[in-house]
Order: sequence, then C-alpha cells, then structure tokens
Amino acid sequence: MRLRGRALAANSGLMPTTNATFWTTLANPGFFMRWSGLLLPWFAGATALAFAFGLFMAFFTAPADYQQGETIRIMYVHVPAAWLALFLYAMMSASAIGTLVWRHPLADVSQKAAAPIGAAFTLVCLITGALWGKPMWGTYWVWDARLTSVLVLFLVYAGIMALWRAIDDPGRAARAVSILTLVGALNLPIVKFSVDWWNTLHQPASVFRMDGPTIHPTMLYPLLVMALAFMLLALMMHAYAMRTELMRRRVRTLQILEAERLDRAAAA
Amino acid sequence: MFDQYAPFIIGSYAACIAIIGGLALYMIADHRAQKRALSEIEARSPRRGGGA
Repeated sequence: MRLRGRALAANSGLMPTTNATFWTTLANPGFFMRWSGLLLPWFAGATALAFAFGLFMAFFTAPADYQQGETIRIMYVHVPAAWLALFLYAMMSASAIGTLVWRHPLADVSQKAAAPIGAAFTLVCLITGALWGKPMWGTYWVWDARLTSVLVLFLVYAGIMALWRAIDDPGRAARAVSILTLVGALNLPIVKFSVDWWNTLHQPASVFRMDGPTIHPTMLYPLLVMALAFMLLALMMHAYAMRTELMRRRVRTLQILEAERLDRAAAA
Repeated sequence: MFDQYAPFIIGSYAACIAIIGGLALYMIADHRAQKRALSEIEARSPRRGGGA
C-alpha cells in the first residue's frame, strides 16, 4: 500500500520518483510550495477544531485553582505561548545550522519566516504573564531571572528581524542572521533552567519534569489541548510565511532579470 | 464569571488575539501583495521559448 501510495504521488508530481532524489527534492522550493498548498487548508481546519475544543475546556470544564482562583485560566494562553517562544527559537537555530553547514535552500527561508511568529508568541507570553502577575504577585513585572531571560529572548527575536531588514542580499543576510541566531540560542537553556538555577519569584516547571507533571489532570488536559492548538497555529503560520518569502524571492529575481533585460535593450 | 479577576483574564485573551490576529492579518496582506507583484512581473516578462 505504501509503495502504491508513493507511486501515485509520484505520478501526480507531488513526490520524488526515486529514493536517490528524495532528499534533494525535499529541499526544492517548488516541492515545498506544492505540498504546503495542499496541507494548509487541513492545518487550518485542525487548528480551528483544536482551539474550539481547548477554549471550551479552558473556560467550562477546567476548575478554578484553590490558590490562584480564576486567574488559572490565563495559564491556558500564557504557557503554550511560552513553549512556542522557545520551540520556534530552537527551530530557527536548527535552520541556522542548515544554512551555515548544508546551505539548504529552504533553511534560511524557514529561519526568516519563524522570527516574527516567535517574537509574537514571546510578546504574548510576556503580556499574559504580567497580567497574571499583578493579581497574584502584586506587580506586573519583577527583574526575576525567568522574566528577564524571556525579555532577552524577545529582544533577540527583534534583533534578528532587524538584521534581516538591514541587509539587502538574502544570502549575506542569511549567514549573518544564522550566526546571531546561534549566539542567541545560548539564552534558551537560561530561560528553561532559570527557575532551577536561581531563586526566582516565577514558579518552577510543573509539566515537563523528571517525576511527571504536578498539575491535576482537570487542568493539565485543557492545557495540553491548548498547547496543541497553539502549535498547529504556529506551524500553519510558519508554512504560510515561508510560501510568502519564497514568492518575495522569486519577485526579486524576476525584477533583477527584468532590469538586466532593459539595460541590454537600452545599450543595443 | 471570573470574580474580581475578569479584567486580567479578558485582557490576557484579548492581548493574545490582538497580537497573533494582527500578525496573521499582516501576513495575509503581505502574501497577497507578493502574489500580485509576482503575477504582474510574470505578465510583463517574455514567455520562455516564445521566440522573437
């Protein structure tokens, strides 16, 4: 069945025909455009379904916390946003390695597309955290290790976006941004382990722990469904942004070719 | 519904919708602009193998 499926896909032009060309074809922007165009509507449907289910659980089935009360509901957007802020940066770091080491043609496109999405989720994390902090800690902000390292993550995202805009040539920009991204990746373990390494006001990890989650299942399941919804949304936005970036580069190439053609015509 | 915490809870969800929704709208506008630019420039370009 698998072979038959592959053969059908190959005939439809959606899949490489031999195993030898499989990986090189995966790196082909045209192949990515065809596949992502087919998958995006399905991703959109799955995202909408996951959000509908997750929000219902977050507002109607999850109980109020015995200490935090109703503010626990902020956690259902704050925590997934924080996870995605880290996940997207890790993905950008992997793409940076792909750009610098293998010069993969989609790696820098992926990196550029992920930066604003990662920055947006980091901003959501910071704002929702502040809105939770005011009623619970009595302040919107403290210069605590976790909060400060997440703020640094946001500033690194902003720096990466600025650097992309500062250099015209996409190849040079990709190499410079890759180096900055990998330097900024040093902040990821600091964000993750800041609550263990320093005495912070922010609570320690309660889901990804060696001894298992410490959250009650009535609150854990809505959180996981919301995290899935956020993840699907981020992946969908990322694929969409990659498609836009590929189109932008095609426009740039055609504009250069057109300018050269006009120059030749003027000289003749 | 949310006791005295309603402004913080509603504010959190509203901020999330504003930031992610704003980015999504910007991305859709950018995508459409690139698509338009691409179709315009492709319409101007000479056809491959079109001769003379």
